[in-house]
Amino acid sequence: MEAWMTPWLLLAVPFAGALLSTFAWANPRELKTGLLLTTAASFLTVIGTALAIGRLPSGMALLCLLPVAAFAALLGQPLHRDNRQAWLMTVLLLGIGLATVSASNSSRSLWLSLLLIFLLSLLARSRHGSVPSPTWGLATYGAGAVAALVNAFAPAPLSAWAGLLVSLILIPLFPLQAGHVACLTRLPGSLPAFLMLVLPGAGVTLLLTVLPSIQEPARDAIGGWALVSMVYGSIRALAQPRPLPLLAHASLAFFSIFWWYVAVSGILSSQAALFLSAVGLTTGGLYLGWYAVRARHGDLDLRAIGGLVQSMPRFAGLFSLLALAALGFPPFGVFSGFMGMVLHPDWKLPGSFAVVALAWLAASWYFLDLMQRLLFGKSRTDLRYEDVRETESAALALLLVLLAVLGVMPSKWFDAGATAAPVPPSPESSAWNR
Amino acid sequence: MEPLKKSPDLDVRRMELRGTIRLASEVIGQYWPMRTFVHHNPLHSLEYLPFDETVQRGRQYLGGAGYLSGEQYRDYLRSGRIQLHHLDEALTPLALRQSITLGPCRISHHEVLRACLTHGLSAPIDEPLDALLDQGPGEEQVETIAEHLSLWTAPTLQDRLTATLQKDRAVLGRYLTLSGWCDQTLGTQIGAQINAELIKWCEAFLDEGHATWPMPGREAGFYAAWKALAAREWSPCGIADSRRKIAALPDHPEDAVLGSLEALGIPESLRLDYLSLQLAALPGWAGFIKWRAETTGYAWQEAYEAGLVKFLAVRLWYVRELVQQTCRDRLGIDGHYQSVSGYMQQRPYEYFLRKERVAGRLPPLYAEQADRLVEAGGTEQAWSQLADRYQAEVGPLHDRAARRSMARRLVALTQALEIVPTALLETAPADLRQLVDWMETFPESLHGPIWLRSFEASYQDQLLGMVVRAAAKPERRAYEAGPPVRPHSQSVYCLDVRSEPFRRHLESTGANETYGFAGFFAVFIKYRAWGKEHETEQFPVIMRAKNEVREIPRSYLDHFVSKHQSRAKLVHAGHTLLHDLKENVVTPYVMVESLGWFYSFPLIVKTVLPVWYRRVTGWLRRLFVPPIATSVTVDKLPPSETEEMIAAEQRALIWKALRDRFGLHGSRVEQEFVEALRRRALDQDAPVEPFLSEAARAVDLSDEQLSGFIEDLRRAYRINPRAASRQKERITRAGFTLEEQVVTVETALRMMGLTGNFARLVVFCAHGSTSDNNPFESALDCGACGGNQGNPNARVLAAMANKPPVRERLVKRGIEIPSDTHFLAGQIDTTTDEVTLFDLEDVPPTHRKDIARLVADFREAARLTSQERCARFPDGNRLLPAEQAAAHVRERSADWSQVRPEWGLSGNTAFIIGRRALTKGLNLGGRVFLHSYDYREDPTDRLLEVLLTGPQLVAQWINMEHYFSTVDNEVYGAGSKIYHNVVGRLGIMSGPWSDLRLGLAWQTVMNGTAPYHEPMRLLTVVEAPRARLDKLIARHELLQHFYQNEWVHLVALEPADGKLYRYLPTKDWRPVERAHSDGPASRAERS
Repeated sequence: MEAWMTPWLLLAVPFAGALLSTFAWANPRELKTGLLLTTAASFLTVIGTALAIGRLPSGMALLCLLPVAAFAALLGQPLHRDNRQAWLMTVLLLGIGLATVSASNSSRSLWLSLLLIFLLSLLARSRHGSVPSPTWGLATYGAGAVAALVNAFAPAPLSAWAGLLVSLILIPLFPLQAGHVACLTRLPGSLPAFLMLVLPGAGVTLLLTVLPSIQEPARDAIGGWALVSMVYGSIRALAQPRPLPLLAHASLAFFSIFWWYVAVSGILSSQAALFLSAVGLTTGGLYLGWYAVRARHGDLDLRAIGGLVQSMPRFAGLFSLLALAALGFPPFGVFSGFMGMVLHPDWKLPGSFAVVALAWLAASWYFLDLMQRLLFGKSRTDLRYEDVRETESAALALLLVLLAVLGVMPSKWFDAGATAAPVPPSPESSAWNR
Repeated sequence: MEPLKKSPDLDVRRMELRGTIRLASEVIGQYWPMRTFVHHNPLHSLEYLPFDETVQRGRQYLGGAGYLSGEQYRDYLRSGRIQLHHLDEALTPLALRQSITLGPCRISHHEVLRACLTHGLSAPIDEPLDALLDQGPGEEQVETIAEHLSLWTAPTLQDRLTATLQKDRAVLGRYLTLSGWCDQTLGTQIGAQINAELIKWCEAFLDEGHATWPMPGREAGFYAAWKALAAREWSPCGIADSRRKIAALPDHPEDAVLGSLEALGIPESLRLDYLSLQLAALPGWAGFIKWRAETTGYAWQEAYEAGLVKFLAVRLWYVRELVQQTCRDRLGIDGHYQSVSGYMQQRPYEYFLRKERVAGRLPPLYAEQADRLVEAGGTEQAWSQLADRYQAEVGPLHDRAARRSMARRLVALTQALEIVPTALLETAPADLRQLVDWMETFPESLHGPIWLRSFEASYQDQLLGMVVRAAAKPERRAYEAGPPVRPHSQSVYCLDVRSEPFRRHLESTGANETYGFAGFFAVFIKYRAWGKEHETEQFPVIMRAKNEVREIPRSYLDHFVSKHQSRAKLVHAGHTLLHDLKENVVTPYVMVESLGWFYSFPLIVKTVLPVWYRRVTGWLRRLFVPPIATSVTVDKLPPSETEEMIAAEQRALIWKALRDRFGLHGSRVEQEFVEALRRRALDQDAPVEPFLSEAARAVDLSDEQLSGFIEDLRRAYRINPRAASRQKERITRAGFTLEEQVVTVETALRMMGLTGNFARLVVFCAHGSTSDNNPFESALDCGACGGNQGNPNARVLAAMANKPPVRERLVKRGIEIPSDTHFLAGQIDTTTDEVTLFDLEDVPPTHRKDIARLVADFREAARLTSQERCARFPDGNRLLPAEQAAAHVRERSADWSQVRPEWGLSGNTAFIIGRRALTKGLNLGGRVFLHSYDYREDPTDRLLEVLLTGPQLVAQWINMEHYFSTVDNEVYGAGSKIYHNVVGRLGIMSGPWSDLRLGLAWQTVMNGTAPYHEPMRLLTVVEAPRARLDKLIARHELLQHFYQNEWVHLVALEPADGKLYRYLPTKDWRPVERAHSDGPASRAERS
């Protein structure tokens, strides 16, 4: 098998699965089962492809994570007719995401462009009554799609700058977060949970090719910009009374930490990729957790619900573990990814780390506050409570296991996708292996 | 703030304000300091209102529930604690004579109401607008029925808006403060901010020696001290220019309150309610201030004055400033009652949508649009357009959800009535609407009184059934009927419910008679224990005492006293030193390193082996400071001895003064010189004795020094006629005259019905408790003794009753106590059930065998009682062997992590006033207060009057404290013990920062999430003729409030026919007909 066939094959399996599953459109249970099987088949295809071509394709760890994340996102969805479209779109996005990550550097931008156009169409359809589609989100992703095309066809250095812009949209930094926020708050069903991994994943693969071309002054500017974005994201997250905007801004703050690290250190290490994936998974996990509440009671304000620890104990346990994972508790991936970044031997902590520490402090506040408000306090007596069902709890548990695996696995598993640093490493440096 | 202009009516206005505040404070109860925890009704001041109405007031002002939740009552119904026929009886007055045909069945209004109660159908369930959960079983049926109801619509946004406006304008100022309005409309936290400030100031000002660094300037009073210190704060709560504003506040707190009320524009007609709301925002701290201000002679209050006027002056200043600032900044209006009311009227859409937004009831997309309008300062038209869009787009979803909700309730109703739900489809929508209306007009808020009445009726039915079996017509008193059968012993216990099991078991061990009586034994005393600096008030808090009693070492131990004192001082000094080292700014750093390790040993041992630790530390303490035998001072000193005692104290002071001022001591100072100085200091007008001048010169004192010294004696050492007179008055308060002793003993014996056939040993058995690390310890002690242990009262009464002159006089009054009867004092420890006997030195040698037998019986009764109690503990809940049970209760008592060392008082339900024959042999499960009373000994009703107005009040307070702490532990109770922190040595807070927690802890009244204490109002059963009770009720307003406002249920056991009669709120008596005892009445049985 030739390497160029990989993206097409990884695209084909989900698309074919999705197509076949539509025959069960009238029966949500069968449709969901079909789509779940498709994600499983995609996972096997990833493994099989690696074995067939005799070497690990770039971003192998991420390639494996994507079908598992899609599986969890679908599994965590309660059966409801209104969710069918979102399930289908999730699987299609899985195909495009896999193709993007596994594509060669020359064709990746085209896949990215397709991904962003796909998202554009989804966002454009997300108008509700008199409330229009998210204009800024559409504009951001529109610009991203154009930039991806520029990256594919324009000469250097324009292509590098365009590539950087696409990465900044996919792994958002303020003020390019509108699309990211819109995805999380507007898109239905399982889509947001999956997109939290697929978009940063696609962004990081593009960044691998772009980063060596970015010079130090530009990186310094991005570093400073990331600090501003971090503060902005933290403050906005602190001020949100609703979980979804809170998650969107919290992830913005955490993605800013990633950008700050990459810009200041000039290294896109395996630990940074691990950190990014873990942040995506925790955000997706928390989204799924909240979705369990949303599916039962509608999209409520945090002020209108609480005390779930008594009425939904299983949910409470899983959700609190995810919140702890999100704010960086060991042994989950966010913790180990971040520790790996800051303890990287080729790098010394700069003074701006104080801002990162503050952002982390803010995260411990808003994540615990989210947990406290949702799980503790007085519960409403006028709601009918039902704890998470087996599929929902299995999905949340699967994500927790994944996060724990990311936390303890050797970070070199992400190495295949890691780039060499654009600056020469110091003579004393050595690879960090656990 | 502009100072109020002094006008002739300013004083009148201040006076009026004080009166208004006094009335406003009715809604909050008094808060006694924790060291003398007093069980009381938290809504005591509102007892002049019917119970149900008071409960509603409590909900309006304090936000507290007055009844258990429907679910908890349903649990009682399922477990049989509530009988269905009692529920039907309680529902009857509400039921209409109407019915509806539902398919093949005819459903009456009564049945629908009952189904609402038994199946919780009235609780409105909020149907989500867009749930995304797949349909569960039965959902299709719900959907079908919802379609059948397709003509129904939910109230439109306009309807909701109109209703909200109407309601909010009506409650503003009455049940909703302006700060509360801002919080719920603008999403501010003004109420919480102000509470935090007030907690800070109250905690600092009201501290009673807990704080290492006390608040400065407290002598000036709460308001002035706050003013002085707050003016130095930088922008408290973000109030701009706060220093200038605080400095401009008037000196009189009344003026500050009036100024704030005027600035807030609170209409005169609403001021009372408004002030109540302000006090109810922090009922703990406000309740403590209320108690302090109303208590005479409280040392801390005399030193640092606090009052509700001052409290409100401070609170209202924050309110006016924050409300003003918020309303101006956010809405561009004045923070004034009229402006706020006008805003609601003029901008209804903005107001309604803002409020919905803050409450989290707007769907996210509309919430975002509302946020944009807030930021852009949208016009009313823009808000109105948003409301229209919302109604057009979300209205249909609301309609659908409302239909689903109704359908769900109707399906649940058919299931409750055991009808097939498809019958609903065969019923006309109008009839279905009627069914839903019936359910909606009987909301959960109306269920509480029905449930409570049924619950009480079910319990009372069983208890009265037990009593009526035993209530044979009173036989002739045994000692009148023939040769008396003399019991081995007679012992008198506190009427407390915890005494009941012990009495039952003691009676079962042999010929031991027991009596119940208020635990202070009619002995009103202030008591100072040996070696203590403070007195305790050993009587119910509603009463006063004029006699003082001291505990003194027995005279034969004189040689031992100084040694004991010096060692005790050493121990005290060691404690003080350690405390100071721990509290100092610097030393703790060194302390932790050097001594911290030593603390780990006791910490580990007391955790792992609590009983052993207690034994060893007790042994060490006794080894170092051996206990000393004491007696109590019962008799008054004769005048000559009083004079001599005062003179001796004054001479000692003069010796000290001479030594301190001039270094004179030993042989240089003659007795005559000291005496001459004392006489001179006491008599300013008398000529200077020549001897005095000469003696002064002999010790090298000039005339000027002498006169200066005498002046010092008068002023600094308080050797002057006024101080001497006060001292004399204090000493003469100590002890009782012979006549007082006779009256006390006679009253006690007659009230308890013990006037003949005395045993050789009569024990007055008080009670106390022992627990570790328990701020509520005094709550376990005797409530009738002011939250103290009752042994001093028992000792005093026993000592009086043993005096021959007292007995001689009692004979003349018709009570003949045999010469071989000895009265003894004892105390039962309600945590370990062990009895300690006092003053055994005074027992005649002839009674040694009696004592031995009694001690053995006590021990056996204690073991049986412990065994019974162990079966109730949540962590044991099984019948242990007696020895094991005794060991278990000892361990609980010593365990510093134990949250339920005793758990005896919870569960109280009834108070029986009558002969022991009524209850002897009945297992009342430790739930009933028992007071011995024989109406035949009380021809004038004087004793019954005392019982109904004294002990019954104490029982009702205990009962209500438990009731309210159970039905809403967050508001009326103290919450979980886990989070408690002692504050200011006066109370407890939850965590580091909260209101003073009222009432009882969660663990005291709850078992897990279910109530352990079954909350019901006190049932008083009195064995006395109804006519007498009527007469007493007519005489006492307190009793009218109790029985006619349904705070207490009264049942009379009519001696004439041996039947029970219930007193009704209409002042009539109704025979109790269906009393039976076939259900579980005791805790043991129900567990």
